Amino acid sequence: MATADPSVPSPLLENARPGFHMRLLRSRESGVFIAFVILFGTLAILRNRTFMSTENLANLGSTISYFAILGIAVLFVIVTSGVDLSLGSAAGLCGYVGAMAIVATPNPIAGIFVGLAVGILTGVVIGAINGAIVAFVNVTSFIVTLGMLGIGRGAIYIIAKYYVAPHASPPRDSPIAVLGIPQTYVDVAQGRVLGIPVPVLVLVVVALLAHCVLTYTVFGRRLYAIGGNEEATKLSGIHVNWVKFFAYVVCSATCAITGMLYVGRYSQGSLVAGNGDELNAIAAAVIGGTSLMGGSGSVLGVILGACIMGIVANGLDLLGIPSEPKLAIIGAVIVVAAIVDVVRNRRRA
Amino acid sequence: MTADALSPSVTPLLEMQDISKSFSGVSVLRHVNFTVYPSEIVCLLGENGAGKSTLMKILAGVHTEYQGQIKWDGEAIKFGSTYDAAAHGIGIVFQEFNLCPNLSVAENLFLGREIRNKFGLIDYPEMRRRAQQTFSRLGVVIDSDMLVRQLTVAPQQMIEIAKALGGGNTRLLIMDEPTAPLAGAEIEHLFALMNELKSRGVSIVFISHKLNEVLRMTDRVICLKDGENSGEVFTKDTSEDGLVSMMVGRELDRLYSRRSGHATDEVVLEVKNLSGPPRIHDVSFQVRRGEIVGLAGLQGAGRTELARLIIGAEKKTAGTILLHGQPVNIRHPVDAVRNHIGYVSEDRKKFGLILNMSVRENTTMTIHRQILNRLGLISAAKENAVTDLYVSKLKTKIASREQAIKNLSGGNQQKVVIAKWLAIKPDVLILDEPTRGIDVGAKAEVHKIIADLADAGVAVIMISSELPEVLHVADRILVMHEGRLTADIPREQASEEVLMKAAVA
Repeated sequence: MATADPSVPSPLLENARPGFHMRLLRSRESGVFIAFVILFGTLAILRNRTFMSTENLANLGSTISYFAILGIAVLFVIVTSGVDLSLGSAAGLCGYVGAMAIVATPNPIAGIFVGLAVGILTGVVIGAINGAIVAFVNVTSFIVTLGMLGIGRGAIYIIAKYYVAPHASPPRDSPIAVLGIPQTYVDVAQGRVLGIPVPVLVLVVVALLAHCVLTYTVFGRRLYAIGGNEEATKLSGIHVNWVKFFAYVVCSATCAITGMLYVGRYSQGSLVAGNGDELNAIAAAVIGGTSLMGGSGSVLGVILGACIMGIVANGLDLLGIPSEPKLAIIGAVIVVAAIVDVVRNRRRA
Repeated sequence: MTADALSPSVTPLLEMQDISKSFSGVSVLRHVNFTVYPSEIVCLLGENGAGKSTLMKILAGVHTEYQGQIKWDGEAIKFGSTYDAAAHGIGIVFQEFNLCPNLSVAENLFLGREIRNKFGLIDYPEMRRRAQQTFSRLGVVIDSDMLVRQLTVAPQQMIEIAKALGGGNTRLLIMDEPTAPLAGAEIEHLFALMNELKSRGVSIVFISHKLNEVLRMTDRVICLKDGENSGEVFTKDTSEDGLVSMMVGRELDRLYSRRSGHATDEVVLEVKNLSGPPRIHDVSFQVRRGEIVGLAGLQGAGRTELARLIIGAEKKTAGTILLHGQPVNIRHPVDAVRNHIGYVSEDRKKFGLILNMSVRENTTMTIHRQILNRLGLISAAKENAVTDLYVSKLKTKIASREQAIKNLSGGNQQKVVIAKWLAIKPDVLILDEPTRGIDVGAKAEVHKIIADLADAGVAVIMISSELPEVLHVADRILVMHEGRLTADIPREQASEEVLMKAAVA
């Protein structure tokens, strides 16, 4: 579009929200996409054989999907100008409890559904606690979910300590993972359909649903409105507190989906699954153009942000970088991405 | 004509020549000329959206891309930034203050140019001393240790003025609607200060919509309309009607013809013994179908607080609200909307609009349940239809439904706020300072809209601090003082004197 004066924000860009994906593609998210393509191309050249192998690409796709689903989850909260730091713990706890349900169910097919239901229900409970305290007691989301980060992870260890697998070992002292996940579950969660890994397919479904909810439902519209101006939204006759409450519920319940995928990935209900994922998820959202001030952000942006996070992690592995410097490099990527975004914004504003 | 009229020997302090500016291809200023002489108060007049702010932002170095030439003290110059403009002696007091409420007066005053002691730490005693010096020069008493958030609007504005005057080399002070947030005595003080500055050789660009102030305070008036010069006149040679016709390009009948309808006897809203925080005490009144009730009073008399109690934004501690004779329980704005009570707030940016959303999304904020399709999803067609309906009904000037609301002028923003409340098909509509910060033309339009609403049977409560407006628009006038109703006067018996007496007693 013709912008005569680059110092002035165009009304279209200013209004960039999920309904405007095509226009968005031409602006903010295009930069993220180009960065992804460059990273992809570089790795394809540097480590062609390993990077372009079906195995690695499937692995990359899965990693991106875990990050993206968590990023989409937290998008619901960030849009209202809140944040959920407990998402990694929530994913871990949901996965652990879900794994217990899978193992406890005799029929492995039924176990898939029982496990999913129990996992997601656990997410709903965690989200309800977060949401109730943030929305009704009016405590800052940062501190509530920071506390929940600890509570969730601690809960896994407490449960694990007293957990006794059916028809298995006698009571013991140290917490252990939920073992004995049926192969059926692992095959489904780690399987491929037409060569596409199941986590990627799950992401596609979650993304489409989330996009529709954010763009075409009253709930979604109100999330953005609250992030834009909470007081004006309330005065317009909207139960702002309930909308915020459900944002946290949706967030944690969506995290449970990643938690259940982790159960398949590790073939167990792991004690440490999801550890530190809040970093990846929130970074994905912010790299994808979500404003932590609320009121803006899109599902497509989050997915692109997750692609960056995923390919950087994968590339560093392939380049043989040990895990400690890897963490530092990923941290640096986040800061650089934030700087680039601010500079871009400054040029536009 | 004015430039010729003045002595040619006087070099203008500022000459803006042939200034043009466009945003995203939309032309905002076209070949505008604007000249200021030393020791002169010039009014920059024009409706909202006429281009006044853009012109002043170019001058203050906020916008650096434009066509045309600026001469400062006879020399061509281009301000590269706001610092650049300030260094040349141009100070600006924006309509909205840029103060940090959590910092002290002195800290705000010296923000960015803090005084340091020999250890490189902030020298608070010296800053305090210099602040007091500055304020005494401005003839005001402000405790420089107070936090800004503890101050009322008038002293906050004085801090802004002190900041704009900066180190003392300021030769041109731009003031954008400085009197809008002030009350009587505060305005008088501001005017005295302006005259004082003028006598010291400072020129002032005074932007105001209050024509009596313009006539009283300024030497010359330069008028813009639709981004072009539409007139220039010595203040002593003109009148209010003259100014209005310059602004709107025609002799506007400012007193819109009285509406045809009359209030009925049917009571729609009855408030009985209402009390609640922070200071509303035992307020009772009725509003009839088709009636416009004006609610007058001084700043802080509790008018906005009363409105917020009625719509459930605050919890009442006592009293009942009856709609059509039936008691209703309103505990949240949700209940107010459900009962078709609308509230156009006094501060549209803070309480009325979602600034980063579009005209369409703002219009439908109150009626989300009514714009759904059969699947329960938001229907673009229904949303667009509602938006278009009110855009044409209220004659809102927008580029498109998708335009971000923050890019509209004040008058058009206000129309969108009114639209979102008309969308609930209100039985009762409370308008809180509905014409604050909007220009004469839009003001007349808003008055017309209010009259039309009453004619259509809406019970209207209009809160306004401008007594002429209340007298002009309302059928009946309530006056509040310190949280209580002190008068209930039919318009025929009301005058500014009567209302003022009730407002202060």
